[in-house]
Amino acid sequence: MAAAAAEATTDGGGKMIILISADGKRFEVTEAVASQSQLISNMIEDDCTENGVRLPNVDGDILTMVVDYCNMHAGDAAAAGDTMKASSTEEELKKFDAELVQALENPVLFKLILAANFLNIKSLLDMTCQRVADMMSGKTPEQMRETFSIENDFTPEEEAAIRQENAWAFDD
Amino acid sequence: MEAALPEDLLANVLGRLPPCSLAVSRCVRKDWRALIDNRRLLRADLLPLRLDAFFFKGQILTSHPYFFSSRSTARRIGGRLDFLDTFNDEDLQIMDHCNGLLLFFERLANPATRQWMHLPTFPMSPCVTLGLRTSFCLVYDPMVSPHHFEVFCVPLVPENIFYRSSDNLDPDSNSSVDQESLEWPLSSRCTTHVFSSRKWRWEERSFVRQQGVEPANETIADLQFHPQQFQRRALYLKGEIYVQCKNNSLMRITLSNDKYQMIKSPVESKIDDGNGVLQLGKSEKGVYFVLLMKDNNFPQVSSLVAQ
Repeated sequence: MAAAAAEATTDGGGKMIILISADGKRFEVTEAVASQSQLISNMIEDDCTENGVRLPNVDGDILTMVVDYCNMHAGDAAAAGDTMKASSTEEELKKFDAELVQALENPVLFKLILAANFLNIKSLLDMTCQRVADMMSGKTPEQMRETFSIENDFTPEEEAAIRQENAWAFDD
Repeated sequence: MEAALPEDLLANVLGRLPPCSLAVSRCVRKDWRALIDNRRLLRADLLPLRLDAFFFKGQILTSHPYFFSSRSTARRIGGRLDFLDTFNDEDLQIMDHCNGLLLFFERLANPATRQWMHLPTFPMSPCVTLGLRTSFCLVYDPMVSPHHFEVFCVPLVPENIFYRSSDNLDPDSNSSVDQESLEWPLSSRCTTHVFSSRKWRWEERSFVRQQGVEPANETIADLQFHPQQFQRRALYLKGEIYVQCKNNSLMRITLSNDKYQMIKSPVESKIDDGNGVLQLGKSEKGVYFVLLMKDNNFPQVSSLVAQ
């Protein structure tokens, strides 16, 4: 079935590709949508997507988000004159992006970063990394550790010394 | 998080932090600190441009500078200059400052650490014999090079004037220089004395004019020679020195390649010195002209001239 679907074409004329997650979920997307991943784009060029693309280190729930993101952003890559794809305006995209990352728990957000990195989707990687940076911004070391469940491996003396090195960052 | 994100991705995230948060991140974990330090993420372009304290030069009653700071800063930095080896008023005149260092005549000091050093004898600028007012511009960028600094003599003058020995001057020297200077800045090279702490000596250094970058922003007429106001003040910001020139045009010197550009003043030349004085200043956003009105001494930020 996968092979048959992979050969199929949509009404829009784009060739379809099957993405298979680590837990075996299948996602059917157009080449235009899938090519936002540089990894898959290279595979399409090398003609090795016939039997579906297995993504052994991306879970189904994460891949759902990635595919949603790529579907939403496919208009970016499409030609400007393509009215079919121009349905999502820039504002809608921004809203979609913001909602996508803001609702996520940290472990899920990190998995999404890993997936964006593995699939090589630069805009998604930028957005997710920026989200983490925004969460860290303005926090104290304790708050950062708390946010990301990190254990402090400095002695109090060591930490005090490092604080002193950048004392300007700790003043009120 | 360290378990979830490999080093490259953690670096991607940390690299997006503002300098303050990045510095804070160094305290979170050992491997975070190693990563930030090894990849030099906390760097020059992230320089913390934050005002902790400042000196104010009283001009009439006393030449000693006043020191202003917040209470938390005052606990760390006293602002007294008694650690210097002199109490002489003239020696304690602040000639320039840059990112926390103070330049005095042949001395350099860091009031925060109360360290100071003597500098080699300042060179006699050829501009002095021409009757030009001379000053010095201190360049110190701790995030570029925390242990080194440079001092530039201002003004920078065309090479033919710089290298002409004083005994070749006509008795009516000003008019002669006047004529030659009309050619400037088309005679592209400008020269001055520069002290480098790396080499620990003063050297002559020339700067080449960058041609055709912003031709609309310069006029020769603006640069007509006038000894007293030839070049007034210079300041350093992010790899460049800005020199306030005649008619408030700006000379922007790029230190990485020793080139300069002329930038036309954004200020109407109608504002003359009778009403107030235009001072060059900087903020984290860029370089400004500030109009100090004579009647109320209240500064008006006039315009951003360069970013």
